[in-house]
Amino acid sequence: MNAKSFIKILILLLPVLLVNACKKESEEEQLLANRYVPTPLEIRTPAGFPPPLITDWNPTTVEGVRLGRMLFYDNILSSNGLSCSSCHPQSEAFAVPYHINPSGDTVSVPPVVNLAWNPDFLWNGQAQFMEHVPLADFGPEFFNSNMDTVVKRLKSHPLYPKYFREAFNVNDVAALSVPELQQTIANSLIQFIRTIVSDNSKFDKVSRRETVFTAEEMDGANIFYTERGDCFHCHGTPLFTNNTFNNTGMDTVFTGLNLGRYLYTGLATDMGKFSAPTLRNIELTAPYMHDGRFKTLEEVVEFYNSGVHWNSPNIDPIMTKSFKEYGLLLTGVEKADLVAFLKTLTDTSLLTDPSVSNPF
Amino acid sequence: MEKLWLNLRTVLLLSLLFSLLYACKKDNNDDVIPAVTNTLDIKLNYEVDGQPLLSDTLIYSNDAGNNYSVSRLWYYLSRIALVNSDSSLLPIKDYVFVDAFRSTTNEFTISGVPAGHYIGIKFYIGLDSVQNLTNALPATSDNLNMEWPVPMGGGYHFMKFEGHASDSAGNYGFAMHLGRNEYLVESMIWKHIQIVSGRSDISLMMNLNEWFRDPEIYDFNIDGNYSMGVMAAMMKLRNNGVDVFSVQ
Repeated sequence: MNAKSFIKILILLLPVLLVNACKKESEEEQLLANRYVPTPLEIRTPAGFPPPLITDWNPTTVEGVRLGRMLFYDNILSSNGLSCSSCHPQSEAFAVPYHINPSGDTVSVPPVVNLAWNPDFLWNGQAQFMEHVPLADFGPEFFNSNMDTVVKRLKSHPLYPKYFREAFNVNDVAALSVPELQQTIANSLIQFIRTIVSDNSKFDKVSRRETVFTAEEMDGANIFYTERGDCFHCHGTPLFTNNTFNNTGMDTVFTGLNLGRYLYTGLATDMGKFSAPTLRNIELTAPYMHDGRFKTLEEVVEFYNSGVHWNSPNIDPIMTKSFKEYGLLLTGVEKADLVAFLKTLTDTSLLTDPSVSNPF
Repeated sequence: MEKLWLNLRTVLLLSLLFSLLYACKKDNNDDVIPAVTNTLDIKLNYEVDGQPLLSDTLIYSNDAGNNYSVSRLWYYLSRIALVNSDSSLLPIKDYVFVDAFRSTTNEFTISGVPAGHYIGIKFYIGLDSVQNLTNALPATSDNLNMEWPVPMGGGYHFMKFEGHASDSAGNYGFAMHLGRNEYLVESMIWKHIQIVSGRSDISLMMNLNEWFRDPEIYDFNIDGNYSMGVMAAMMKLRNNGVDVFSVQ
């Protein structure tokens, strides 16, 4: 072979050699190219809210929220006609009054609102990832799901196969194990739930200087935000929860669900402690406390005014001020004004917000 | 000519081989030598007169004879500065939120501290009047949970020190909350501190019992088990708080 011929062959071969050299990466790129890349979605964060807490293995996407929203309102997951929205209806600020568990305990249903800012979930904080909460819904207490039926329904649905593929690159729900499918469904539900944001109450409008409080509401705000009522320590602005666990002195002896956070941590010092719930839309989410023992806001205020059990083990230190042994001693007018302020946290626009409404 | 061609062919083949080897090599910046920056690790530790701090454990006793446990200790350190040998200040950290029981908040690193000899460290427990304004700090959960309500003056709690107590008065909770500009605690610790090239560290120790003594004994049964909005109680805490920290 002479020099000319060799150079010719080399020039001809060069592209082939280069292509082969990068073949492995190209194949990987090709595989990636065939995957659907969902569109990242930023949770709307109202002014003054902290950054939302998004689970790193379940980032929010347009497609994931779309799927989750449909599943939230669809009874396709259950064998008894229930859907998530059965216990969390938008018209009731995303919470029915209460649920009776298999042990016969009454459990106040927490509203699924502003949960993008919660670090722990359920009354005793037993769920550290919100994505784990819906997994229990497949059980007999809630959906009583037959997963074979769920798979068949999803596969034959005109939209769900496409939505699963575009949200999670799941081409066939039947190819997933039951735990994998349930977790994928849960992930989509939670992506949707994180988009349910309430920030348009009268309180918010006053904060934005769009309106003003009445004299009664203003008096109630002063009780709420001062030592007079001392509500702000656990229910501070803007989330109206500090996301801590507290025993507010409701009981002196704890049994069953009233053991609270102890049921999760096993620490004696956690007996009787419950997550401080948000007070946003509190007017719409009666009854109150973890077990729904108080039917009205007036009853709740009266409890804090005169009913706290100071001798309750592990009672929150905030509840035992030395100069308030006999309760808050609020007058009838002050109690009414405090309730009036609490009602300014009602966000009626949430009840019809089309971005989180039933898509069917 | 033939020999020359063979050499040329060998060079070409070797060049091609190396070109191919490097054709798909990923970017690698490992070879970049970073500029040397001095870093200072500040560690926060806690004790109660020599006993380690444990949460919710009723084993401590203050000078007033109040036996107590600690369930929460949240506070700010701010305007942290090293003191130069001519007594001028070298600011090194604007502010930090600390939860004594959350380890990640009890250690922080400051970069770019000039190597040299310093004669002390100065800081506030709390926030000065520039920072102690409602919504002045970023809206993190920690900062929001430290807000001092506007009807009570606004700004932030400087400290929330809570727990349960037991003594001749019975069992009760206590909440030592500090806030408002006039109760800002200024801490100045004179101590030789050497910052070396590379990595240095300072450990600060808070003795919680110092909140209850020197110059004034704080007794839950006399001064109150709740300080927020009680000016005399907050003033005692402020005065006692000046020397709760020491450099280890």
